[in-house]
Amino acid sequence: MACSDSDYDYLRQLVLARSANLIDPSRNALFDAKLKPVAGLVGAESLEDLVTLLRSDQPAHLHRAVTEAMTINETAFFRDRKVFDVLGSTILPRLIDANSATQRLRIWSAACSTGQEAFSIAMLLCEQFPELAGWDVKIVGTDISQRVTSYARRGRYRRLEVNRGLPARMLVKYLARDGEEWEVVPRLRSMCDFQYANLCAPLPRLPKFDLVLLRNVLLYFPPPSRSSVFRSVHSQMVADGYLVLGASEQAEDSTDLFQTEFAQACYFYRPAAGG
Amino acid sequence: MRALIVDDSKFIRQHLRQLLEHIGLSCEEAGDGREALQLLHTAAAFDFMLLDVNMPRMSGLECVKAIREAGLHPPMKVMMVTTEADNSFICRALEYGADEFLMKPFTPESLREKLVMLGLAA
Repeated sequence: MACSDSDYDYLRQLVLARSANLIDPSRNALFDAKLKPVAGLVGAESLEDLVTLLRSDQPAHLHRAVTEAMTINETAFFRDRKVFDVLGSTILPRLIDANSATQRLRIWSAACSTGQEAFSIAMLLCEQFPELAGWDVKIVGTDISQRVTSYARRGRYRRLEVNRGLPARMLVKYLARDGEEWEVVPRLRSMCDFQYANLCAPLPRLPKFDLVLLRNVLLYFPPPSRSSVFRSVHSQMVADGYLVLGASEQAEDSTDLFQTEFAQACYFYRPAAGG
Repeated sequence: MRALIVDDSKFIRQHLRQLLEHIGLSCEEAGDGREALQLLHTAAAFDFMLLDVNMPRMSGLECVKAIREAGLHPPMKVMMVTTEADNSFICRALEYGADEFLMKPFTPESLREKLVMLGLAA
């Protein structure tokens, strides 16, 4: 299901413009694989036909479907355990201490994919911080793909998903088996909301967050888009909040809105004074 | 790091051996729970045991229970590998002394993630 170089360029530009997802020409085969279902839905027999449709009618919903199909949805429960260690030992205790008067905590799993990160945070809170039982705690997961936010909202996972990163003791405590799926228990689901948001466009109405996890997202973005996302994220955080990026990502090349801190082999970021 | 692979299927033992050796563990094999127990009584210490559940002569559940009751290789981590996936069954395996659980089918990545979780891989 291949197409011409100019068609690939068109697709690359379309995805870049709508989601800042920069797909290198060496990875053109990704378009072939990921856009086949989209082509099938609109009756296009080839990628070339799909590009013709995209170019001619400019249908917004089809552009959005292509953009969503090209997003990377790799995720797992407790992905990169070091991050959860530093959250449990350093960041969350500080936030809980700082918010003890309001007893309110807002956490953002930005680019949440199918929701495993948000539910992992909820499990961490329940396991390590039972004193939060009476607090107003909300974990908001957002993603550019409505398909994955719908999936996350269901809170049901398949065998291959619960096999990844989820300790057996947590599986039996926080997910109930139902046929060939496992459903997240109501207590965790009530802590998590999932909604559509494009990090490269004006954000929907969201609360100010104490903690933002934006992991393994910006590495796919070109530098100007990274700066723009950092500005959006910064404006969505409380002044003494925390930002956690992926292990291979850093803020300092793209923005001076955050200052770096380091604990337990992990870098994390806080809004810079006067930023 | 030394691993003991216990499964009645030679094909599966070879597959698991390849995966574990790729991660950097050296492996020995046993064809059922009883053979594994005999090996644990005589062999040098193991760090990790990958244990099938449904096997002739002695099941994985009976095996892990016997290992923990006898105090064999106490620091050894035991991970059950099985298609059996009811929460009640997983709870029972954990009560008997299993440290972790991996459901079949699984990917090499999920096996590695479980080993990281158990502190056996980076």
